[in-house]
Amino acid sequence: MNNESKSTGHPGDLLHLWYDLVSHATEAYQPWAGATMSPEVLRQSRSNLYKAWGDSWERFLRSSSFLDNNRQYMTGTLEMKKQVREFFNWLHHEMQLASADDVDQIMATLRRLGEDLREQLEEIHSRLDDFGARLHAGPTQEAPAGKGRDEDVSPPERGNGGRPASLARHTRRVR
Amino acid sequence: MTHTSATTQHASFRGTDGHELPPWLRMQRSIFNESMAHCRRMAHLPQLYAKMTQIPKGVTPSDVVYEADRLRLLRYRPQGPIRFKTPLVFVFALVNRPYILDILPNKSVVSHFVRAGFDTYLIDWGKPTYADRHLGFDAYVNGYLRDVVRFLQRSSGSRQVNILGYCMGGTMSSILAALHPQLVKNLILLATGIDFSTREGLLNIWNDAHNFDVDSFVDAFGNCPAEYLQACFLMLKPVRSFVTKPVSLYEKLDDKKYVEEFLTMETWLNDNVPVSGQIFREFVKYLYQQNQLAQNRLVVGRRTVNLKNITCPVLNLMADHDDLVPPSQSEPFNDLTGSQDKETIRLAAGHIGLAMGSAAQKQLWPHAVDWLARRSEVVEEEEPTVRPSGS
Repeated sequence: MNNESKSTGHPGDLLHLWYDLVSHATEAYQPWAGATMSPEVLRQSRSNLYKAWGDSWERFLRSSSFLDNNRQYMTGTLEMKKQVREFFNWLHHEMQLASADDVDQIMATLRRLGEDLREQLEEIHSRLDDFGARLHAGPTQEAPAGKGRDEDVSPPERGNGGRPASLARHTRRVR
Repeated sequence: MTHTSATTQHASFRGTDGHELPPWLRMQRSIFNESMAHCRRMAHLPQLYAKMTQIPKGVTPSDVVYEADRLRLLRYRPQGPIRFKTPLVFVFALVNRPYILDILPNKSVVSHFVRAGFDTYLIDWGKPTYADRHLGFDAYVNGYLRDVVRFLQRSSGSRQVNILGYCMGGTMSSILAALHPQLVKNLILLATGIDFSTREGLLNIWNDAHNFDVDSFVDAFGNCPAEYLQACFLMLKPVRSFVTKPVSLYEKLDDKKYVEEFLTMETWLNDNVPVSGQIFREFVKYLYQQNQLAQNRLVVGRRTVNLKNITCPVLNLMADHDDLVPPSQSEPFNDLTGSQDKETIRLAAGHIGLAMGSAAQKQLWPHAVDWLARRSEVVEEEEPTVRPSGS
């Protein structure tokens, strides 16, 4: 199943789906039309109706008209949120108070420091491991490689990706 | 259905002398019966709120043995001697509270493992604050998760741990197992998304780069709000969420067991927590939009996650009717790992039913316990090293 197979992709999506639902609903009641309707039959019909309704909704939620509207709504909401945030930042600065962005910058600096410290500690740890392994292996044998510590090392990613772990984490063991 | 059977089912519409009642009397009787049933159901309505406030959040006795920031590690009190050396830790998703795994006495996943003699732990990630919005995969996997494993290594004396990851927790567990394969003895994944190239699920379509600008979203909100997640989950099946479920509840208001289970589930479903903005960004951008994990391109910390590094035994559990994580997202995992001992089980259930459904409780979890027991080292006359704090 893919996106294209389910979305009809033209402006009349909702109307199309509505007709589709009515058609399914009619079908759901059709087998018993004219017969005496027992509660079980009605329940089954209702279940079929719900299923048809659910299927119609699913198709609508996959349709390009829903996705386009949703994107526009989201863009508008985010823009408004951004403007509100900028206004409050301006207000805080005018009142000579620390804004959320100021705190954010301090936190980012602390995290960067934490990351640097962690990397250095890991490097020392790695060197100590290698040193220990060489000592145990003896002077004539080649030292074994570290246990997966340095495989697949990629350059550090900055910006939106791989943010550093926090060394400011307060770790406490409860007893 | 034939007319005869329909007539039989309408026996209540006969008069005292056995003759079929005229239509207007039948209608009158139906309305009366339904009104009485309605009153009977409505009589239970005032108790609903009281019942909701009494829903237990976890039924198996446990103690907090470790804390870090918002994270709490629960240790379940053994119901007898610990039989297996390697501790088992449940890693739950960040979007909901983890007590779904131990929600009712007859629907507890945790209790299966505790009863079997595993030293069982569960990570409760807690509720991130605005200050936690920069925590990404690196912080959660290389930071918190690895710290928990270190703690378990120290406290249990075992060099490795067994991990059971659920949903997003399974994805994080896979990343940990790929980055630090020496730490994981056995890996069980439950409804875990790995290959996000599929367009089967609505979440995959909604999170597409063309449809969702995750950077703007996270920049605007900081953390991903719980209400947003809740709305997304409800909209996956709107008819079920807003029509079928309330109607079913109304019809069964006088069924005590049904109401209790319904309220328990709804309490959990509505107990969403916000997700740290950075990990939400990375999850959507790198996994949903770029599918980096399945392509072994995801970088966490300074290292590329290569699923081929996972060589421990793997049990991959998935649900046929999962709306959140379709089986096509989980199934490719076994082919992507380097493990020689791997098994996949598909159950005809939904995302939640896979954990707490009747079929899962009767068939799936006993099998999973057996699978893990066969791959675990048995303790020889030794007491567990970690004691509950009794807090």
